[in-house]
Amino acid sequence: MNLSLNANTHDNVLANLCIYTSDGSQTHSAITTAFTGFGTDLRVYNCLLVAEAANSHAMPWDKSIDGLWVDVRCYNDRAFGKGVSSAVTINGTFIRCIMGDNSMDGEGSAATISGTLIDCYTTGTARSIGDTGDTVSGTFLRVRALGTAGILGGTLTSTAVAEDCAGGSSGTSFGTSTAMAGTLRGCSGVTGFSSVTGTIQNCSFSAFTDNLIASKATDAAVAIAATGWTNTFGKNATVYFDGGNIVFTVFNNALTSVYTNAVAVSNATVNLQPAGKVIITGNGVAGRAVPF
Amino acid sequence: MGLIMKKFLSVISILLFLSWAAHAANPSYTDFNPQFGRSGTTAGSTVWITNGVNITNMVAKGTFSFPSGAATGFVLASSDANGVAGWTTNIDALSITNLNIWNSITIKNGGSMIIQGALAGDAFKFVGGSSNALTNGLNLVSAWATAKTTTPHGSALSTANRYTIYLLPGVYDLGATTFAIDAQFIDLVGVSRTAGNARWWRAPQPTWETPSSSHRSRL
Repeated sequence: MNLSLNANTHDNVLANLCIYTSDGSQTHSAITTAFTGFGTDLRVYNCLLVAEAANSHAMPWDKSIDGLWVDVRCYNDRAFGKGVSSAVTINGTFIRCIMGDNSMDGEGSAATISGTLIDCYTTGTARSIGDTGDTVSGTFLRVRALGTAGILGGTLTSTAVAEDCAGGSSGTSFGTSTAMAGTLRGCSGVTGFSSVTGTIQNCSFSAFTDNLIASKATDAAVAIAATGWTNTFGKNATVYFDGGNIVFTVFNNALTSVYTNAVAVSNATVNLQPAGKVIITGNGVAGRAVPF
Repeated sequence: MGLIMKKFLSVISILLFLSWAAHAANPSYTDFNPQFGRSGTTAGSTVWITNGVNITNMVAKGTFSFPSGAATGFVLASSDANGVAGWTTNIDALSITNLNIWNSITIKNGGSMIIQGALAGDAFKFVGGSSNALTNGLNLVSAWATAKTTTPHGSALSTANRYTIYLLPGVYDLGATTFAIDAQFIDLVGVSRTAGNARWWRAPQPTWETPSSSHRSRL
């Protein structure tokens, strides 16, 4: 089935169907679109999408996903958006949808998962709903990984919200070696983020270590320049410096100036948010920065 | 006395007329929504053919008209008490202008009338029901082509004026052709007590027929 209309809406309803392909090629899916992606007004209810042949896929690669998908099951891998040759955006609403592994993901090209997922789950052993290089900025309520794979990999932005989500038993979730800037509430699994700049509440992470939120961070201290320093630790930092006739200005993570000393000093200690910075003027300024 | 009798007869005549008029306005009829393969048999009565959605108006007016496209795909046939075919007519767009010829049909005692074809209304159509998957597939393609040119309720297709194609349980084999959803505001809805049993495939036809994995058993 090909939504061949060149439109970004695709105002059609598909309900109570099993859409099946026996085609073995990866270019023929059970459902696809000739457009860049499935449109905003597409409604798919209670459908099973099946590709029967080995290594074939029920849903297309390199197509963005929008619209409303309710009770749609696609147990094939790489479902619901897969950026292989071009980036894709998964921006629709997905309720009680089931997908195979490697779904909602940028495999060769980045994917942006900005949609809303409610009561969805993935199967298989490969991470879904964001992976390395992907941007995760949507809302995720009770999203689970039934297999070992993780979910919500990539980079969680400040708008990402995950509540009561559960990653796989061994695969990492909620980021892939990146700073987690979103909000996690009541989530569990094996953490994949390297640091936290967002909010974590009532979560239970089996691989969670305190140094991810910096209180026991052991990152090596770094020397700062005489003109100042920008926090690149990905976590809060303390900067110690001294010299003569020092005037400094502290900037927050949005690079907004928050403090300038009124009286020149010979030494000071300032705290910086991740990506925050301090600009220093003075004589013979030197110092070091450490995470805290 | 003669005057009284004359008035009495006049009253009788009026009552009879009223009775006849009431009968004409609300005739003895068998109303049934034409459905695929369904037949209706009425002995000595008038069968009114309806489009399945407008019978109230039809009875009240004594005549009716098909909304645009409503009759597409119907075949009517009648026979007498001896089973001898009386006539067969295809109801299509051309015959809609002559609806007054057959908007009611009187069947002789023991006669029958069978309506064949897909149930179709102003804004919907049922397809499927054949054990032949290819036939179902062709009918689906045909229904889609019809839907694209339909103006439900007299207006162009739009978000608020949609056309729905209902798929009866069965397999819809589209062969080597990819089914193109090339128009908006047309919906495909499967009808099944076990939703999702209506299945779609492309050539080559699979040998798989029966749900065999735990995944499919969740249908």
